Amino acid sequence: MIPTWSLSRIAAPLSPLEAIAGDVRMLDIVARGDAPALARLWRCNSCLAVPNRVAQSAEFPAAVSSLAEMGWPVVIRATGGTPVPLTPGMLNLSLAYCVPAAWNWSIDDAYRHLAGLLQQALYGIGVTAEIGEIAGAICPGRFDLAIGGRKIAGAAQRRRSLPGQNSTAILAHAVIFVTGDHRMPFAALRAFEDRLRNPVDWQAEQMTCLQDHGAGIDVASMTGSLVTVLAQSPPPHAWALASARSPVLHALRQQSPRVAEDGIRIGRCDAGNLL
Amino acid sequence: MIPVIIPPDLWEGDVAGAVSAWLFSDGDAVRTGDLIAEVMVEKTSYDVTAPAAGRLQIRIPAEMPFKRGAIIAAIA
Repeated sequence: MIPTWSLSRIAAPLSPLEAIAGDVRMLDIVARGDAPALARLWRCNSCLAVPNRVAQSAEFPAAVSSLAEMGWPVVIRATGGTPVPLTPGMLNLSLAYCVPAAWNWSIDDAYRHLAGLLQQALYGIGVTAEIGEIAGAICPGRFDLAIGGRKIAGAAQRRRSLPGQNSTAILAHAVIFVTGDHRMPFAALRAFEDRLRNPVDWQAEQMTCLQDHGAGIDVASMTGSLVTVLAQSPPPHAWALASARSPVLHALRQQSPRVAEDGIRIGRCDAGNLL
Repeated sequence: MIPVIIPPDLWEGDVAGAVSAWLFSDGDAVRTGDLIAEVMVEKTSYDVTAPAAGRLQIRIPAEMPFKRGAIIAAIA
C-alpha cells in the first residue's frame, strides 16, 4: 500500500484544551507505531497557547487568572516557542510522523518540509509567501512565512526519540493567520506578557492575515488548498520507498486524498476517531 | 557510565539549546526510556529519554545554554 497522510479536517472550532490534547495524542499515536503519518487541520476558540517553559514562571498563576478575567484562557501547548494567541480565524496544521534515526532528519529539515507545504498551499490560493524570520513578529522563527515582510504563519515542533525503534517521532505544528481582527488577541498577549514581566519585543504591525491579500480567501479556501497539497505530498517516511523506485513516486503524486470531515475514520488506522 | 547526549545533528548551525526542565532530580533512579528532561531549541521541544537504567547525574542545569552534541547528563 502506498503511504499517505491520514488526514482529519475538523470544521468547528475546538475548545483550547481539546485542541492541544489532540496534538499530544497525534504524537503519542505515531510514537506507539499505531499510525505512520497523521495530519490534522483544526481551529480553536480564542486562547493563549504557551509552551511548558513559560508555565514554570512564578508569575504564571497570577497571569493566567488575570487573562481569564479578560476572557482569554491560557493553555499549555506541546511545542516550543513563545506565547501566541489562537483564534477561530487562525487555521492550524498539525503533522505527526516518524522518521528513521539514521536519516538525521533535523529540526531544520522538519521545518523546511512544513514550510514548503504551507508555501505550496498558499500558492494554490494565489498568494506568494516567502520563508524566513520576521524580526519583531510574535514568536519569530527562521521558517516563518511572510507576505511583503509581514508574518502570515509560524511553526513549532515537539520531538521524541524512540530508542527501541531507532526512530524519531515528530509533531510539527503551524498556525496560519487567515481572517479576523487581531487587535484583541494581540492586546491579550501583551497583557499576559506584562503580567509575566516579560519584555514585549514584538509589534502587531509585523503580522498580517490572508484575507487582506486576496478576495475570497477564507478558512475554507485555505483548508481546501492544504488538503490538496497534502494529498499530493507523501509523508516523509514514504520517501525512502519513493526514492528506491521512481515509478512509485509518480504513483504517490497521483494518489487521491483520503480526507475525513470532523474526525471520521480514514486510511489504515482509526486515528481520526482518536484525534 | 552512560552519557545522555543531545544528538549533534538534531539541529543545524550554532544556535544554543537549553534544558527547560529536568523531570528527575540529580541522583534519582531512572529506568530505560523514562522521560528525564525537556530541551528547548529553535521553537522545538525535544523530549530526552534515559538511555539506560541507573542513577541520573545532571551535568548541565536547567536554562544553561549548550551546543548540539553536548552531554547534558550521565546514567551511573
